[in-house]
Amino acid sequence: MEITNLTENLFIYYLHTLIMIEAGTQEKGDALVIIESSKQREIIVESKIMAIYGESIKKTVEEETADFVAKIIVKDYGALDWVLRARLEAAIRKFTGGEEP
Amino acid sequence: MSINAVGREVPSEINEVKFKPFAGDGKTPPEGRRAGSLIRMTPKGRSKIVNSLEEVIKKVGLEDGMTVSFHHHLRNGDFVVNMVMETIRRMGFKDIRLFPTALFPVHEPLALMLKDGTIRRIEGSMNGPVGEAVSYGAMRETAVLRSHSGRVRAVESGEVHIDVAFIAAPTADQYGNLNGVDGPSACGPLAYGMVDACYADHVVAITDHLVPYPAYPISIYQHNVDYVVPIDKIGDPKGIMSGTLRITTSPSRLKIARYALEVIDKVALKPGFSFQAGAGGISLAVTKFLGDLMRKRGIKASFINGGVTKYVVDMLHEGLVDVVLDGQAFDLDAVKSLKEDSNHIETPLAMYGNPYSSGGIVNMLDAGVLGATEVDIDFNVNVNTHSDGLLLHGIGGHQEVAAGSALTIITVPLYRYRVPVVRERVTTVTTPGEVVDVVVTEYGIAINPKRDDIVEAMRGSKVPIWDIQDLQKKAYKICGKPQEPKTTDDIIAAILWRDGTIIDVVYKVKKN
Repeated sequence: MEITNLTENLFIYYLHTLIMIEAGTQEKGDALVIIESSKQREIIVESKIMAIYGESIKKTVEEETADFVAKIIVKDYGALDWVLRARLEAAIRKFTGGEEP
Repeated sequence: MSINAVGREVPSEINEVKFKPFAGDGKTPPEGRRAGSLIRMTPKGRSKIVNSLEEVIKKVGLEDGMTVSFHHHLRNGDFVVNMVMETIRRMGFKDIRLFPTALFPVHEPLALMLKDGTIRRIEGSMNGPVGEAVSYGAMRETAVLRSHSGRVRAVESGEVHIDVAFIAAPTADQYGNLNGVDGPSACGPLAYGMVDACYADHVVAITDHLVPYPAYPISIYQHNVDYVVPIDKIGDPKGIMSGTLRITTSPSRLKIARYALEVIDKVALKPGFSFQAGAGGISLAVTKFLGDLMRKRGIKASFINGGVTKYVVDMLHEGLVDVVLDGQAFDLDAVKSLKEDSNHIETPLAMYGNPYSSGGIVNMLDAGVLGATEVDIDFNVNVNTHSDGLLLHGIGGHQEVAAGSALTIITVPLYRYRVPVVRERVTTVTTPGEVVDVVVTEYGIAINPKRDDIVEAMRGSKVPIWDIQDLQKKAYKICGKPQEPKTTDDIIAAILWRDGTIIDVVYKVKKN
């Protein structure tokens, strides 16, 4: 799924996906994390500051979601590292029904 | 290539024209005599009115490769640049050098003309999409960016010769007297266009408000204007005027303004002092708070140089300041005041801060408050590029105010979202640390160590004072150390110091 056409594609996508949650916002300084049930682990990261913090963002997403089998989409709008971590944790807890990641 | 006075590697030639490396402010003396325009004659009885852009372009004899200029008083509401350039493109001209005072997001269509060969290069500020396109290599030749007065210097010295100046005129008469204070597209002063009117070989006024002869007041005089083209609309008032500008409501930004005011109070505030106003959220807050403080203390300022907004006009009307000097108006209150108040004076850009002149307004400033996209531990300031290397802003009057003002304050948040503003090394040097005195952030201030007098004056103040390196470390601790931008070795733009020396260059950015 192309993340840039989020709204359009989601409409078609909803029918086929079992569980889908989101955490965060699309405000500057925040991040939006979407998790969908999937048989394989798949990670998509997009950020406005990829050129400046791309490596750090990818590393954080890996760390926070390690071994978690789902499709994880992160759309970052310049969130500080611990803001991103909090959004990822919230997303995983929502997805697992409140269990600790 | 050589290393200049701020440690940047710069070429000796840009577009096959020789440039000197930046040697320090005031270290490169001027040479030669001022340039001149073509001597021409409008015979008695000949009408200056021309009814289409195409016809006027034929009349002035535009050729491939020539230089055309524009002013940016209509800002993001401007229709004239796109309209004239589209006509030039349609008529089949190629390799034009575009020499605007500044471009805005509304000028995005120009990016296509870089591709199809209509424009070979732009020398002027590029705010937004055109700058971004140029950053990725859309332009055949290299951009040259100059400050407001640096551009004036370039024209006066002959560094840039303008073949045709197209001047958007909110009010004009049929014989070419122009002003910006009346008409549906009123913008205030026409200060940016004045030097073009004097030094271009041909001058074309484009107006949507033709008034009986003579128009008044007169900002640009008839003897410099060859043709007047009446059209339906030169701009969209919503993009020309900002509406009432709002003071920042962010608590941390207000804190920055409060700290900046404290520095002005301790260092510069005295009866008859002067300062530079701006239109940024923090600058507006400083202006407003300063007015409140002056009222409380019974202190009156001699002049404000602007960047004029309602807040400045209110101070003038209240008698808190004697005179407003105006190179650019941001709202309708400023336009109205320029029209009606005799102590609100329109100033040509040549008077603002050209270093190669007999002295600019900025030399008389006691305090100037400026913004930045980045500041580094040597107090160097970047206003041109973002931290990812993209060229997205012009220099404006940043260099002039910083170099001229007795106290130069840079107000910046320590970081924006996740991007550190106080850094080890700015991505691009626009203004050298030697002319920057105090950096003010929401965490406190850093004083340039060479200003012992300010260190002394701030003693006992409640404002936290830091070594600038501590501010930078704090920023990196919160945000993480930023990656270096992915650039290539191709130079897409040269940043000139106001004396025409190269202070830095901007490299082409790799797409992710």
